[in-house]
Amino acid sequence: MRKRERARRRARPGREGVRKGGRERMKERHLLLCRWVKFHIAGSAIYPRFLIGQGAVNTHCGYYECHHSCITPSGFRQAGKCLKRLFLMNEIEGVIEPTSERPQPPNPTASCPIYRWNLQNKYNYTDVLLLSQFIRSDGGMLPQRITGLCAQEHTKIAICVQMAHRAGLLPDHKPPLPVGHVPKPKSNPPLNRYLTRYSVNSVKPIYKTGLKWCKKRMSVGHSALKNNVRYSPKPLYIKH
Amino acid sequence: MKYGTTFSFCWSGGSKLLLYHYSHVEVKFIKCFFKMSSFSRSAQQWATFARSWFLIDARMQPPGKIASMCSVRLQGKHKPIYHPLSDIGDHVVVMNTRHIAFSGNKWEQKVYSSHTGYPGSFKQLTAAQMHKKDPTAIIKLAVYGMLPKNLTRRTMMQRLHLFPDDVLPEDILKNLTEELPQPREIPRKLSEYTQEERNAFPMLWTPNVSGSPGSASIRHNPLTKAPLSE
Repeated sequence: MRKRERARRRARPGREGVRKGGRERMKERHLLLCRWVKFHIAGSAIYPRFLIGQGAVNTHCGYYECHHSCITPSGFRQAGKCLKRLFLMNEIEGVIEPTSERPQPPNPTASCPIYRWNLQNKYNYTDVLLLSQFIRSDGGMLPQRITGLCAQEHTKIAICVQMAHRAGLLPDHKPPLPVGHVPKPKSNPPLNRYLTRYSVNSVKPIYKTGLKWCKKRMSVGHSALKNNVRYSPKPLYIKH
Repeated sequence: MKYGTTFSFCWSGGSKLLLYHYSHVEVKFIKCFFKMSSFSRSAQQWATFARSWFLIDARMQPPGKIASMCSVRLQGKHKPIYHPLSDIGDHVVVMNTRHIAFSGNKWEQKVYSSHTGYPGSFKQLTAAQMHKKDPTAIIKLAVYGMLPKNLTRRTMMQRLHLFPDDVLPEDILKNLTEELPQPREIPRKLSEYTQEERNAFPMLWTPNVSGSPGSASIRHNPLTKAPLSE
């Protein structure tokens, strides 16, 4: 990006009097990009604080969608780069704040966050507070290399997130509709469902169920969650 | 909003009083502090053999569980004086049948078949189509299948009252004695959690904040250039 700009500048005949230095241009561009970003150093970790309106909102995830603009992963990286440059050029001040009291994981040496907090086999599609930490603002899952989840737990969380979406437990994590889109009036109101394993449009009706010994069963929930902790003596029925 | 209150005695369990008003059904229980053994014999007999009216809210509930609760009370199997010939079943009123929730993909997979006996009249409807046509049909069929297959079944079905929404007619509202608890615990949506609850929940993982995507895991404090330890 910068090489291209330099080449463009060299090609264009610049006016002698009004020519701005490279650093000045960079400063302007970075300030424009970063006017809404305030940089704080909190203890041993660096957490960007985004100013929205009057108050500053703490984000726990770099993919947080603020009200005025959507921060894509590349946008966040750009902001991080120019913040670092501004800091080294002494444009912004670092203020060391004491860390807030955050609860510590009971098993800090594990690589997967679920194992760190000993939550394996203990979560379900209803634990929305847990699931919302691993999803994007439009409802999709965050990649494994970012979250640090191991493969099995990543699939289990993905399955639970899918079931939570179908049950309507994540109403604010829908993909954004195109601008100026008018939703059609729906003829049927949405049906309530829970523990839906398959996509709604992909399932076919079972016209012939068969005899009792060879019945075509309807599956409920997912077999990946069959090892979940159960506090009742009844077994988990996946095929109804 | 019009309010109307009437009281009716219920014999079941510890005696309870019921309060309700007409705009939507709201049930409160006030425990009475006298024992049924202090009733006179005629009052006790009257209380034992009286037909109660139960109310069930089927919002976000699986229809099969609702139907089994209904069938138990329609037969009278919840009473210690039960006998199949005694006709001691109670009335059951189910409201919000339009908002039942099937588990799994049963809305698409479950098929209700019917045949009138005439050739070419075999109809098969999925649960979703059936529900659109008649919002009370699913629970009605479920209860019908759970009742004993004898002549008393029809009378028990007459004592079952299904309503698609929470608007109940006045005469049924006046008769209600007890509301039964819902079988399934409705999970909370993310929007229903308060900000305090969300803040109290610990963050399981923190993002690796750095300039480039493939950066090393060791981060440095920009002030002192010392490596950070998590």
